[in-house]
Amino acid sequence: MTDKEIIEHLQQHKFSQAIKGLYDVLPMVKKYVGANNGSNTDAEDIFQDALVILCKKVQSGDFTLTAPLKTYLMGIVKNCWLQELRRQKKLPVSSTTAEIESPDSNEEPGFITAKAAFDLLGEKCRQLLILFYFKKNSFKEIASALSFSDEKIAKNQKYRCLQKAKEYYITLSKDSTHG
Amino acid sequence: MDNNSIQINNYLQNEMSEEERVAFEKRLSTDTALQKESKIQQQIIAAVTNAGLKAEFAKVIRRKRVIRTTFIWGIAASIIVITILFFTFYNTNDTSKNESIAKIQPSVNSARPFIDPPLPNINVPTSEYSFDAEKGDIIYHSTGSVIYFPPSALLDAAGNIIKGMVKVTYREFADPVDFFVSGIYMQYDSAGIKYNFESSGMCEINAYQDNKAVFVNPKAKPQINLSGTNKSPLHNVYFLDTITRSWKFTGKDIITEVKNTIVKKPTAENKSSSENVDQSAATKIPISIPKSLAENDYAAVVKPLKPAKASDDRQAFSIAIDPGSFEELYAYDNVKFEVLDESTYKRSDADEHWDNVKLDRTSKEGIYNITFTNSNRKVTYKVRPVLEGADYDAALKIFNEKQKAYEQTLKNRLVKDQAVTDSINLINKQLQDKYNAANDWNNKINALIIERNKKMKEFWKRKMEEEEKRVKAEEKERQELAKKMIEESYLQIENNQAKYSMDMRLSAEVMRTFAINNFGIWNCDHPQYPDKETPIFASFTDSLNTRIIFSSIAVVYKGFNGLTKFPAQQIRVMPGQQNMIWSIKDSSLYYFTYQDFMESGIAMDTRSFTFKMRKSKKPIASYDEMRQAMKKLSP
Repeated sequence: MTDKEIIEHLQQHKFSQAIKGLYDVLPMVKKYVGANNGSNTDAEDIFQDALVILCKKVQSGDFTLTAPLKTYLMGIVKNCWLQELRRQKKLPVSSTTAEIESPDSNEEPGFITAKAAFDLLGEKCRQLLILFYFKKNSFKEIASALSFSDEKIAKNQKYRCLQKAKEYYITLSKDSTHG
Repeated sequence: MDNNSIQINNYLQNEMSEEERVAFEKRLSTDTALQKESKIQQQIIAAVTNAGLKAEFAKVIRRKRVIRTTFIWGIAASIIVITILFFTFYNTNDTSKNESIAKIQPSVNSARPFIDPPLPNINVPTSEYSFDAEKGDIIYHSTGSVIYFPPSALLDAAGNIIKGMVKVTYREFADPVDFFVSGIYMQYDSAGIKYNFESSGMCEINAYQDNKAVFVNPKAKPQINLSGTNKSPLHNVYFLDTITRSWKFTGKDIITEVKNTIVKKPTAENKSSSENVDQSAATKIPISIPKSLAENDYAAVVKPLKPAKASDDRQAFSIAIDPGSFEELYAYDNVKFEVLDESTYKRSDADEHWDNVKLDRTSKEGIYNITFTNSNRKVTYKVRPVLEGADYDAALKIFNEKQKAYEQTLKNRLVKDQAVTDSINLINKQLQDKYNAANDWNNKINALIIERNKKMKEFWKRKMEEEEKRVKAEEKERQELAKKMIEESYLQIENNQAKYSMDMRLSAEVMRTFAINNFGIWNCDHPQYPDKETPIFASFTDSLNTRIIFSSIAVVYKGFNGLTKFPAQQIRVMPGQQNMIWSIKDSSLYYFTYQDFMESGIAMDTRSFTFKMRKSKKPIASYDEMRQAMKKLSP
């Protein structure tokens, strides 16, 4: 599968097809993360994060590939992992060994906090928000998928979940300021 | 609902009219609070779409992995068996450590592997056994559990019965330390509700031949007898399905209290020791037809006596008969009693005055003894009832009617009795079958336990000898230290011996027996709904108040043989009860003791808390070190 084909699959949300072309990168990721203080679990997690970033980039419209796609993906992986190590305070903030220009991990200020706040939500809330914001499901579809009695309840629930995430975000922001 | 939130949402989702959008943007340019809230909401929505996208990728990767796993299973199994062989060889001990089988279970991961040992290279040790698959075998594990492989219990991937030697790997997970170290998921999902598993016994069993995984023959399933102390009948048997990442309910186990299984055999050898043993209830099952039915009911049916015609030349008496005393005679009028043996008869007796006269039946039907007594004498004649003339004819008529009725009653009664007898026989047969089954089971489990106890004695004897050897060797090198160790070792051996001695039957040990249809992880569990848990947003520091970030947190409730694991920061605890919190970072054990928790002041309404974690003195390098560290925390 050529890089162009993989990119087209990602742009068209044909993830299964795209992964066929990118799955070979995973062993490299495991090797890299394993050699840099991480486990296989970390490697798989980072691989998924990197795929998300790649996907967002190719869907953003102004994406130009300056290296083979797998090398580019590996570059994102390395950046993500360095960021993770910094977050875990295993690496000084100044240290950087990024090899590819700009495949950053798109983590603008506050994004990590938002991610942590989302992770703190219950399973059902997370599912509901994903169905609404990512899958673009209607409240009727959400009510049916998550066994709410009607769409009004699904709508109220979505509001509550979002508010909860905001509360967590604020708590976490305070926590990181004081901690 | 909060109007700002709705407006922000509509704005971010492009769901505003042009007019609304302009007005909102105007407000946004000046209202800093709205700016801030809008930014947060924007970032949260970005996090949601990211998570959605990540979940999609995880799903695709998982699907791909399942397909790959199916293809590479044989190869993976080979590698693992080689690894096991290496560790077995290396350790020369039956409880050799290995790179857990769990690691190569087909884990289909979204974020973390399903079976997720927190300490790299440390796991609950596995024992290895080998036997001839065609013959089957009984495995006696060091914990007291017994695994029975019937003949031809194993199949290859094509469904053919395995012949020749096979290897079985087996290990047990006894307590929260084992659950933690193994990384096995201890929650049960049912209809979207999560329950905490309380285990009364869990094990992992796998079998291989020539480095290839083999399978259970559904026609000859292996049977696991898990030794434990939890007698609760609420526990069920579950199998860990690593493909669907969940526990599957498979049925109930049979619980046998070891102390009740020893069948009494009064030989000189075991006479004294068997005195305390229960007599099997089965031996007391009555297998006989109740007497009462036959006797009482027959008494009510009187067989009529055929009347006899009086002889002209024999002596006869007339006597009055009390109503009800001789029912067979009472139907007839004017019955006389004819003397059968006239040689004993004295004519003068007919003239003598008698105070009393008594009639008795003899053993012969229709023959009676008649006894006359007065203050001087007592005479007895053998007599038969007779009738004369018209009385005889009338009596014969009555007899015929009565005989007919009697025969009919008898016939009815026989039919009825047969039905009763049949049903009693049926009940008896059922009881007998039940008894036989109970007895068979008792005999089987008893034989197993007796054999097991023998093996355990041998096992501990061997251990003691090994221990002695070790101690003696050390004695040579360091005399003083060795002395202390001997005392400790013997104490420990004594404790262990006591545990597995013949007194075991009096202990609280139970055997949980179940057949398995798959190799993998099996668990006798009771899922409990954690209604007393409350969610807490947790952060962690070390003793110097430096923030630590863990990848996962384990929570243990005292007295509950289970363990719950949570992603870092979002945990659930049980306020008011003794909770212990563990985590691992860089191979060091971090923990918050039961005492720490009780003193923390965490209540049901606590929403966030910073746990100041204690840290093990040195990194945990082995399973034994982990156990020792935990033993100190929770003796």
